[in-house]
Amino acid sequence: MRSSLWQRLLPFLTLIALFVGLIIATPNFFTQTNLSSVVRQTAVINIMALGMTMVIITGGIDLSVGSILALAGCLGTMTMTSGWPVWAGIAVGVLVGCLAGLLNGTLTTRLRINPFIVTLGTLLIIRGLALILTNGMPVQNVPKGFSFLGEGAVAGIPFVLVILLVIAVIVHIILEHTKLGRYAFAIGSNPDAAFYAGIPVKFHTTAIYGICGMLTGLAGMIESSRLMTGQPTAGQGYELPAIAAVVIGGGSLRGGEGSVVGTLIGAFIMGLLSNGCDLLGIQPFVQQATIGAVIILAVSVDELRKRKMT
Amino acid sequence: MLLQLEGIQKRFGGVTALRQGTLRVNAGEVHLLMGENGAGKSTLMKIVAGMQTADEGRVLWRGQPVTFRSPRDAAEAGISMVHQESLLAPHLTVAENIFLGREGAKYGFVPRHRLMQEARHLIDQYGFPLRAETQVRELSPAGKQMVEICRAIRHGSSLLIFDEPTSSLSEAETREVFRIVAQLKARGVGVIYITHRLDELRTIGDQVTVLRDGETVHTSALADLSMDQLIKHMVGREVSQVYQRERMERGKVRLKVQGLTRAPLLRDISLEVHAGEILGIGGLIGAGRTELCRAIFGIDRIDAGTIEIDGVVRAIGSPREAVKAGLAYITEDRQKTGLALGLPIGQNITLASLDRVSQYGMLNQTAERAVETKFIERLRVKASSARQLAGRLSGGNQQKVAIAKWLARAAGIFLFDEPTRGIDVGAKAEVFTLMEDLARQGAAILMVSSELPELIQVADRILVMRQGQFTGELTGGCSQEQIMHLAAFKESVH
Repeated sequence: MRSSLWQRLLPFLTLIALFVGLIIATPNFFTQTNLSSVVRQTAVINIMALGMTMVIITGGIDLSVGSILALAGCLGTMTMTSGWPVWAGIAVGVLVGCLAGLLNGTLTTRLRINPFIVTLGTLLIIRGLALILTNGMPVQNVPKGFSFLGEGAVAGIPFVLVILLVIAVIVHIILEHTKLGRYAFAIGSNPDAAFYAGIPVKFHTTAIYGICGMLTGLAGMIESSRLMTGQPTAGQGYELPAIAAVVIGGGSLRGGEGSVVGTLIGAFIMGLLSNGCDLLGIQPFVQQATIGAVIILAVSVDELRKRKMT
Repeated sequence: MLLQLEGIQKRFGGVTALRQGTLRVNAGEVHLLMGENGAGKSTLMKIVAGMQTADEGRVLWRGQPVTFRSPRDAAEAGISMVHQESLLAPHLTVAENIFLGREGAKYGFVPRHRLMQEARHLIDQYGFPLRAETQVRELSPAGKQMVEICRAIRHGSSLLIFDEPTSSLSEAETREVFRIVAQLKARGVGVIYITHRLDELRTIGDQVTVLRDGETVHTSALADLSMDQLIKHMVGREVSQVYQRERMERGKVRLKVQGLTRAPLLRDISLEVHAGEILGIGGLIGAGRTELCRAIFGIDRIDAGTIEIDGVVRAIGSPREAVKAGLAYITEDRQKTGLALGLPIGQNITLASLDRVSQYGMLNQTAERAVETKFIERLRVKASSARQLAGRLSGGNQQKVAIAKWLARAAGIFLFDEPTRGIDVGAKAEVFTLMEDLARQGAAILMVSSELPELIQVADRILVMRQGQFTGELTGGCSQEQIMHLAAFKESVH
């Protein structure tokens, strides 16, 4: 029992150890500049990972988040460049993300196609759409005020950190304190039992994909704000770190397991690893390999823990 | 003496599964292993089959102390287990499955032709109802079990362990399994046989060992033991084996089905269940009984017919609508369709009734806890807490949780599909008491069961199904022969 508690805390302890280790290893780590840059760099992935957590809990997956991020960013910035205020552009981005997510959810539940396949398809479709709409060119000349979303600070705290924390709290409440969240766990744990218990499985699954898309749309607007352009090629490959964060944090691709705290820890472990490698002058190639090893290590520890329990 | 287990102990974390497991099996003997769920039978057998190792105690195989570290170790020594859940590769043929892992490949090439012939030879020798070239996924559960038995024989096993082989088989298939077991015995193979079905013991058993709370409490020749004594050993107290239900006044019609048809499995089914009544549905496996429940509960679309609930015709197109109409369905396979095994017991209990403990989509945790505690206590679910995962309960306790889910919803019409499958004597009695309580409180209950004695004892009336139609109605207390007659022969009363 005791060892299992240790193992459950392992991701958290790893994060702390990593943090302390970096403070000792390099004086450049524990500075406001560096820490806020870590927060800003990881915020986009972290927000996506929170949406992905919900999808993975239902036993699904969304490979199209990188493309949704780009499409939302492009349409959002296009709204602004055509004269609408900044907030309207952000709202459009979030809405586009939501619609894309609902499309994924609808295809998965109504056509009963495996979400891996569905979102592999929409990954290409949505990316294509973003490229067609922008003619492959970045959206330029966005209003200056838009930069606050990604680069602004409130009382010295990066604004994106505030957004991330607010979203983390909301997602946590959804998962742990609402009917929707409970149904998400039930659907992921046993979709048949959920259906037989009278739960509208398709509706709730679709809603979860919609929320994931919404958060991805917001992440897309943050990414655009940091780049101050709408990039149709943005976010390529972002689905992998988002999924990795969930999995490192104890989420199971079989569904029914996952948590906001776990995912955030997973995301920050990856963020610190890459930041640490940068500061210590380690080659980016080595960084990639290290993060890959961490993913496998984290999941094996988690599997061992679960196997011990049964 | 083939196998001798002495003082076997096994703990999982803080839980002791076995404290004093003792068992002796001779060659050419069918040894019954009995005990309630959670008594330690499965753990003991897993140790014999090399799936787990004992913490304490000795395993002697043909007189030599051994420790099997993997199922492969045990198989090489000559011990095989025929599993309850099939462990075969569904897309491979019967022949390929029989030789799986022992193809005798040369340089990685499999001698397909020879394997096919050897498989055919083996099938003929024992008269298995199988064809070597069939894909395993096309077989019935009984067929799959036969393949597992073939596999064990082919590997030269001298001890076979059967874990509840007949729990999902029809009468005819059960007889087929018994015939094979008798042949194995005649060839000097030792058989350990785990079962909950008291009616089938005498047919096949020689010796019996009873486990209770992880301890071997009795071992003797089966002939020296009466059924009542056996049950007493299993539960550790006197239980009246025959469950007697008090009959009660029945009220108005709560569930009325008319002309329900779903080709090709259900044809023109009509029935009524009154408040306070338990209506039994008898019939053989494949007669359409589960399909009837599924159709009423809105899982399968119906071609024709009406369903009336409390006097109002309802179009039930999904379980959601069925639940709203006050129906509850306790499915025959609680692991697949009844419970979310990875979630806590408490969350399983409230799963169908979250709208009663939530407002605007937000859960009221105090109210939810109260519901969880109430039903865990009322049904006497044996669990460390409401947070324990449902997957870690014994079969009987899982069934209680599956039922609690509908009690929490305060459903009024219950469909019980094989409510006692795979649960022990004590839990069975509790489930029946529960059904009776529900009926007394005015619920209407439809109960599908393949256990004829249970059907006769519990149901007020019994409708017998055959090939998707009702072939007759009997009153509770009828004879098993009457049911079998209607279930198996085509003498329709319609």
